Amino acid sequence: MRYLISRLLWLPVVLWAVASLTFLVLRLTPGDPMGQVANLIVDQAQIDRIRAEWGLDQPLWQQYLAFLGNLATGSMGVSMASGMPVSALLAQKMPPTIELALVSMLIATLIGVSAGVISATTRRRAVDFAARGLAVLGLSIPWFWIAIMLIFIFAVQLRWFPVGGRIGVGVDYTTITNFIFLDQLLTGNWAGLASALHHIALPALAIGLTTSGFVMRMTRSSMLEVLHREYVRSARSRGLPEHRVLWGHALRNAMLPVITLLGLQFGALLGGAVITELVFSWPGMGRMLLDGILRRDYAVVQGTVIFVAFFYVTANLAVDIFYHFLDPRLRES
Amino acid sequence: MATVRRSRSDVEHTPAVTRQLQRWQALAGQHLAATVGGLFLLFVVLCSVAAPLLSPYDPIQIDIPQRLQAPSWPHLFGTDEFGRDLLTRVLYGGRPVLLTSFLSVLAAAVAGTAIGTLAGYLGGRVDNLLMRLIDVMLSFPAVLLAILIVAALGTGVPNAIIAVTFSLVPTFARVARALALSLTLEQFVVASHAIGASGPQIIWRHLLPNLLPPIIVQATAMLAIAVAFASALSFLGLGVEPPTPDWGLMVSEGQRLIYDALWVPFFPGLAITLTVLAVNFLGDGLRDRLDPTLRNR
Repeated sequence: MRYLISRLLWLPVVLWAVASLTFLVLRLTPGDPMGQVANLIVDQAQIDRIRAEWGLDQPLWQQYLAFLGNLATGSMGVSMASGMPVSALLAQKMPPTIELALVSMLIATLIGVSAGVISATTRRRAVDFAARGLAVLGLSIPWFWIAIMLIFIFAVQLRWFPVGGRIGVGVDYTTITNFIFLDQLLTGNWAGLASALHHIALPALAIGLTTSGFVMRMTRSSMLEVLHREYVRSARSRGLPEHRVLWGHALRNAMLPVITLLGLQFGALLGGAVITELVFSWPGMGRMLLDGILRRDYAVVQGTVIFVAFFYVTANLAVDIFYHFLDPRLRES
Repeated sequence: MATVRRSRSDVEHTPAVTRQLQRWQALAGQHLAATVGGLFLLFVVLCSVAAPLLSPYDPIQIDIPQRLQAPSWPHLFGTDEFGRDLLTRVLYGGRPVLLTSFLSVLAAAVAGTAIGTLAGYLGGRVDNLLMRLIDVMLSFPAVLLAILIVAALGTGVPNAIIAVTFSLVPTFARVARALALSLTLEQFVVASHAIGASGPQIIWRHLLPNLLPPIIVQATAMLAIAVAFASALSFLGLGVEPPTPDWGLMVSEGQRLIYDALWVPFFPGLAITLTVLAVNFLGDGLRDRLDPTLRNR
């Protein structure tokens, strides 16, 4: 309990440090944030006026304080390219990315855990070697490349799935939260839901397949560890059917390290989503981040990075807490 | 302990001879994988270094009449939309990726080991401060940290090296600290303290030599990640500038050609995959050799 409280107290400190580091890294750069805009404006007076408007003429520490103050009130500044508040942009672009990351994680977990269990129970037989080989292959393939290859096979050749986008053209759908699944569920729009599922399948598979390699390896080694424990033997000796021993008794105990890995991998998944989105023209944070970088639109880059890091830190904390509830030994100590 | 456990469970269905055989097979399998991985990696490095000797074509010179030729004898991997031989570009294209990943792993290993060893050996406030800093760096998804740094510094190979290095340092620091911490409790270090050896002497003579093997194993594992990051950066257009051949950039430029010239994005991506695969095989093999508890898995 004390551990959890200290973790919760530590959270704001980490968030502050993450925000400050992002701010510093972006400000200590040789480039001028005005570079892109200055190309469009010839008049020096105009440049100076915009500088003042954005607070770029103030000393760094004042900019930093203003930045922290804004952040505390939930404001992340204004995009220099579009003139829109970054928080509004994020509210629009964040749900697709998170949706993609969550579905990918689901796929990675389903494939990784089943392959891991099968591989552990067929240790050193052909099935095990094949599963391990595929796992290494999976975690060696770059996200962007497997994405392109999946598009080629399943969208261009077989035409089973669309090439990109979030939902079919001409499909009626409602946007409330911009989490497309949630919105269609809320409005009872089954055709929209089906179309959204159809569109998310390939990008989620691209990220999920690569991540399942990590999950598979962790599940396998954790299962091997657990399969020799007394409770598994005693479950067997009580005459329980093998599938219940495996998927019930053994797997439940083997899942702890796997869950930790999943929590850590969620950050990688978000990173992967950012890259995979570009291939599938998925309207998420990836495109926004890359455009922000190329246009030196600092507010956007800063806001996106801070948001993802916040999300990642919080997700890890959630996994830690979940872990404590799953393992009674940790709960009591 | 592992041996006892294993034999107990295997006894039920496998005779002793088969078991022995399996054990040898597994051992040979691991060495084989590591050897094949290592040799292939060497092959990839040699190919990219010796690219001008291996190919009669120029990797940059545009040759429009030859554009988008399917793989054939004169062009084993086909040609790209500017008529350049794709195999030649794949050979040259390994250079930026390999340079970025090898140098950044080296730099991150040195920096991370230094930070981790100091933190682990000195303990107390220094340890606390350094490790909190590392925690903050780990709060960024690593790819994102690399992207952020490139965003700040600008594109190009040197900046990509810095970016990938920074994203790898935290892991090395953590590993080195844990190792240094356990080493400082070993008798030979304690004894060395007792006979009056100075801090730097202990770090240099006792800690670092013992840290090196596990750090090398860690570095191999991180090399796979570095290759993946370096190619992701160049895929995003944050690495080298076109027309310089580069695997990630070639996949990115070729992706809109999948309808009529799949080979253009296929081969550079395959090169990345096989390189990472080779590094992973090498890393797994090295790790299994160093960590006996994993050997029987």
